[in-house]
Amino acid sequence: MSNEVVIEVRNVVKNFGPTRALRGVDMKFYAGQIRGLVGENGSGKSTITSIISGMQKATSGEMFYHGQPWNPSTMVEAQEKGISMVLQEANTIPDCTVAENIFAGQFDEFSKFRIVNMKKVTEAAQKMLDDFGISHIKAADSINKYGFEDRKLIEIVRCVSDDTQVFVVDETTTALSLEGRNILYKLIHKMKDEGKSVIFISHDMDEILEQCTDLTVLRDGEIIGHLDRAEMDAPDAVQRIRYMMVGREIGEAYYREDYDTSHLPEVALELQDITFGPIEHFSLKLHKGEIIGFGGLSGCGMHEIGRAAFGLEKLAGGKVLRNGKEITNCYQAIKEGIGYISKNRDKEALILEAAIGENIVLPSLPALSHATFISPAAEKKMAKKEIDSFRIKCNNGKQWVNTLSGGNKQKVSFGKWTAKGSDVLIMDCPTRGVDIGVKQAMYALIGEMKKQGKAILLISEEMAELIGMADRIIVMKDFKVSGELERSPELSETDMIEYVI
Amino acid sequence: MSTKTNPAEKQNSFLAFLGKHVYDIAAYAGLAVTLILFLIFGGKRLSYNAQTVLQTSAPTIIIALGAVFVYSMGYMDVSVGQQVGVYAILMIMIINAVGGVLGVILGFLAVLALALLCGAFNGAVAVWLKLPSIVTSLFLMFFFTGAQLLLMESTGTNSISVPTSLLRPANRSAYNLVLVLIIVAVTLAVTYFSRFTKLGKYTRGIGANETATAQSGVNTTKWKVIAYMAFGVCVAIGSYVMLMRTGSAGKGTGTGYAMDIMICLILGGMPLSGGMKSKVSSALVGTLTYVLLTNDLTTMGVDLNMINFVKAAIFIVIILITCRKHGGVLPR
Amino acid sequence: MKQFTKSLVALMLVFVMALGCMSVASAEPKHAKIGVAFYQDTGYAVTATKAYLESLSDALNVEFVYAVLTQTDESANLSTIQNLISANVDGIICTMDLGTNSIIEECEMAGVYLAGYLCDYDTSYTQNYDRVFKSEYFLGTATDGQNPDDTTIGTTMFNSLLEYNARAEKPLTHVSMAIFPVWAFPSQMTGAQQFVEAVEEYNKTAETPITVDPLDEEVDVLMFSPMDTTYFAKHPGIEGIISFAAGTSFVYPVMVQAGVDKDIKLFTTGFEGGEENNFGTKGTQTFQQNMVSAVESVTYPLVLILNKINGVDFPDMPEAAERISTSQFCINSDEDLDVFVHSIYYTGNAADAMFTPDQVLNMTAFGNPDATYAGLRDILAHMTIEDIAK
Repeated sequence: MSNEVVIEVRNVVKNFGPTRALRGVDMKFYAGQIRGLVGENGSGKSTITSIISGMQKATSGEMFYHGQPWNPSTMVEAQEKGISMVLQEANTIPDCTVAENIFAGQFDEFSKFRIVNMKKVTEAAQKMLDDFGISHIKAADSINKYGFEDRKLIEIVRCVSDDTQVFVVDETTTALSLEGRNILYKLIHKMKDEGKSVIFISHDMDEILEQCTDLTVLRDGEIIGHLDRAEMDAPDAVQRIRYMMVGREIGEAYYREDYDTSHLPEVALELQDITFGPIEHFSLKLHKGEIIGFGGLSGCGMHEIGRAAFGLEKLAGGKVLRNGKEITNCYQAIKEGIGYISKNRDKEALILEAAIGENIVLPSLPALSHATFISPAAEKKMAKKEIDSFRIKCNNGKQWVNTLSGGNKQKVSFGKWTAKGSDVLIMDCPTRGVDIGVKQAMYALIGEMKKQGKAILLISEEMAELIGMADRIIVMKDFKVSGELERSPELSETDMIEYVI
Repeated sequence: MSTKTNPAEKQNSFLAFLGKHVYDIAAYAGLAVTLILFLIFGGKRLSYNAQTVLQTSAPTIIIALGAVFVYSMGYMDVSVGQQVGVYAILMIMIINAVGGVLGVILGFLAVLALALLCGAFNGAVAVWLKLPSIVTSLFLMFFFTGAQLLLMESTGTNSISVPTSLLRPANRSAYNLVLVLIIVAVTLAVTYFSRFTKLGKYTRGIGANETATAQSGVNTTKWKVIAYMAFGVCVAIGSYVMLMRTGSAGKGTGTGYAMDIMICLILGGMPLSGGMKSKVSSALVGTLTYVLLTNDLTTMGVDLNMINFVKAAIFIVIILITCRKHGGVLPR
Repeated sequence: MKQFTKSLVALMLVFVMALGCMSVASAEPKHAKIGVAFYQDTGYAVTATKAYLESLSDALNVEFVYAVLTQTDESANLSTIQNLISANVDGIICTMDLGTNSIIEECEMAGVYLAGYLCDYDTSYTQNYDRVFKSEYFLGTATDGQNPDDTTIGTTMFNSLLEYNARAEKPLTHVSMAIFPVWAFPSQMTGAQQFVEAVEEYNKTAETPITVDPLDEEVDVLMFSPMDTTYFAKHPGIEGIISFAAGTSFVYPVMVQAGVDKDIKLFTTGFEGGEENNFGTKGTQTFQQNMVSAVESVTYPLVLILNKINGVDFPDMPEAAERISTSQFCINSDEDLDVFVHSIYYTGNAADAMFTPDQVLNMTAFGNPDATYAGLRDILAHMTIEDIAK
């Protein structure tokens, strides 16, 4: 491994109002290294990379890039100087072509007398896509044609070039399929071999341990420790890293430990022969005290089933029944005690530009309202209860949701329905982007809900989660049920994967 | 690491405070400046000017208060001016036909019913036809423009009137008191519904994120209609208060109210996109600022024809201040 | 002690001198601020009126502020008046009778005098006479053209037509008319009737009788917007249009559009600029008569307001406010036009006004103890085109 320091940060502090995101971090990133950054939500890992890549400025502290002081004012400037970052959120420009997206801001290279030669732009973009191994994306197409995953790949193509010295991958892989991930893995290893520096942020421990050459753990805006490859390969590495991240022993209890798949006899939610879109004649009975898991690839139709169960899809046939009543829209669904945690957290589950408390109490307002009056004290109490029980990291319930880290946002989304006391919960990727400490708490809560007799529909792209939590797993492929698995200690991901692909 | 707050941090939190409250600060600073100018330049007619400000601003304040519900959703309404015109004409016609206090009561009730109907129409049609609210309110605007012209053509005059003594106390102090009482009552009612009931919370939610609000069990169609109907109640009251001033109405009555209300709300710190930062106070602060500004400029001797330019300049400055992006956002 | 007496005497002297100065000052007119609320902010009449008023401001010690009213919104007009009052005016000259009840109430409360100009205040006159015309603070108005009580405009128009026919190679034998709505200008309807009667009288003896199309409700009444293009279809074969309404804005453009401006002659009230190029024997020869209210008529409301402010009234001031007809300049021929272009109306130059500041001061009660109301009316009623200095 080369010992050349590419980026160094010294005593970097970042405050958001009274929230202290970074408390004086010192860190060096070397050439020829894939450095993993792990830590719980809000530990500061994204904050440090966003400062390095010019997305925001540090409150205080110094940075050096190849030994020179480094103070990028924008992401564009950082990228021009060789530091690129791919974000978790979508960052493409809609209504433009793929080529325009790739070369946005760089048209000068293709223009003569200020007239851009779009043909050349498209050709160059297509070459980049081909080199990258994603020839199925056509540079001349509108970006709107492509899904979230493809757009992510286009973003990667856009920000990585031969001149890139530092490449930051910030939780990008959650958006990618296996195939997409493999493309990205190949890219970062190639960059490592070329003596470049890669910073890799992920919540997926397996991924981190497989791909990274070094690992740094952060907690509460401070660096807790570094691990080299040898330490990462140690048998107790996972336990050790988790301990460093959370700051306490997590114990063995992570998923459900019992294998009791019994449930109450009453049906809590029934999908009766429903047909909509590409899904045909799907039926399901969810009982009280039962957890049914839905697994498969992202486009397999399982998310749509969740939406339909909540009354968000217009059915061409069949019906959704709860307590003998037909659910045709989400208002009815909520009235009948159904809660839904959308996969599209920022757009559908949460009002980002509103306080945590306002989000939590929103579904419960009809219950809080007495002769039109809603007591602010009652609202505050309800919000505080959820903030405390989920340990949502915030100053108080008045803080806006858009100031929270991804995992904490997810907790708010969860808290809405626990506050409401919904008896049926449809969870679409509830632990997405959530770190292990919180994940553990959520799993414990889901287990507790089952014991309370609540019915849960758990839709997840993580097989381990489904195997660990569900009484019954329904695997879908191409909008059809491809297999059903019963909960058992012997059940493994290998058993499941054959139905998935 | 030191846990003491260092100056940089202090400055940072001050800037954060500024960033968070930039709307309010700009709005209240505007009101303070216009108020100071008002006191300085009011001169010998200070008390007269104060009464003028009250009488001129009363209808706008009341309608703007109702509009808070609509603007909270990030919607707007351009038909309100013509609505006010038609309502004033209708009230006069009914009062003249029925006569006396009964006529006044019947006239107001008829107008209230019509305003509620228009509110329901504005809200419901926008949702059902999936049209932006401005389109339905444009339709209503044209409809009411036509209605206003037809009604006035039918009278054969340019202006119809009722004695103001039927509408308000003849004594000026009593009239001013009535205006203050109406404003206070409407303000309290709107504040209550905005702060402590579902109506306010849901309309702000719709403005901030309609999908998430709907998926939290809020029947957005229903609440949009309710919000527009609440607006309608205020439009009816505002029309009456406006009629109290002159006792007369004609083809042009109400012209400009829609724009005035939008400008007042923006001056008062209401974000055009609606959402959680929408506040009831913006109706009061904004309208008073706007009316005081006009009065200030006049008493300061600014050419009456220049006043619109000065207003435009001040308006654009406030927009620039409040629309600037501010504050760092914690990534994820 | 001596010192004290001396200073006392000195002080008294100063006091007496000061008193003396004050009494001398009182011979000068009191400083007054007058708001002028126009119906619009452009046009010959407005520009000329402003120039005329400004020329008087030193001699009469008056400061003017201007505002613009709407034609349709009472509430907005009230606000405009309130703003003028806020701006500390002592009197207001107003050109619009809209929302006058509430405006006069406002004036009474603030102690501000109101008088009209280029407006007959007919709505108030017929519907709220006691409230408005008998108010202590409403002083009277100078109508645009003739007030409805002594209309002669129909006869004037007919005379102009005869004058044209006398000199024209091809006399006009078929004409139609255009008026503004009755609620706005009742005198125009009266004028139209007068015109028809005059023609009928003439036809009894004439060799070549003149045909007048009766007023058509639909197209002949102009709602302050250009006339409908169907006008010409409704009046086939006309050779002239007698427009009591402002024809330059609302009739002439439509004639040009329809391509009849060379074939049809236009007789109209008002002069808005540009007519001179096609007047009489010039250009397309469309305009054969224009009738203009003398802007000097604004002297009427101005003098009445200033009298009140200075606390001196005419001995013969009427009990209730009156409305007077303004003098009209009737431009009948090329020669008349040559004279007219030297009027203040056309040039906007106060030096061309019929009255000098001193003459106006002489019309006021405070500037001239012998001045009378009857005298003021008389002077203003007899301004003719011959009076315009060439």
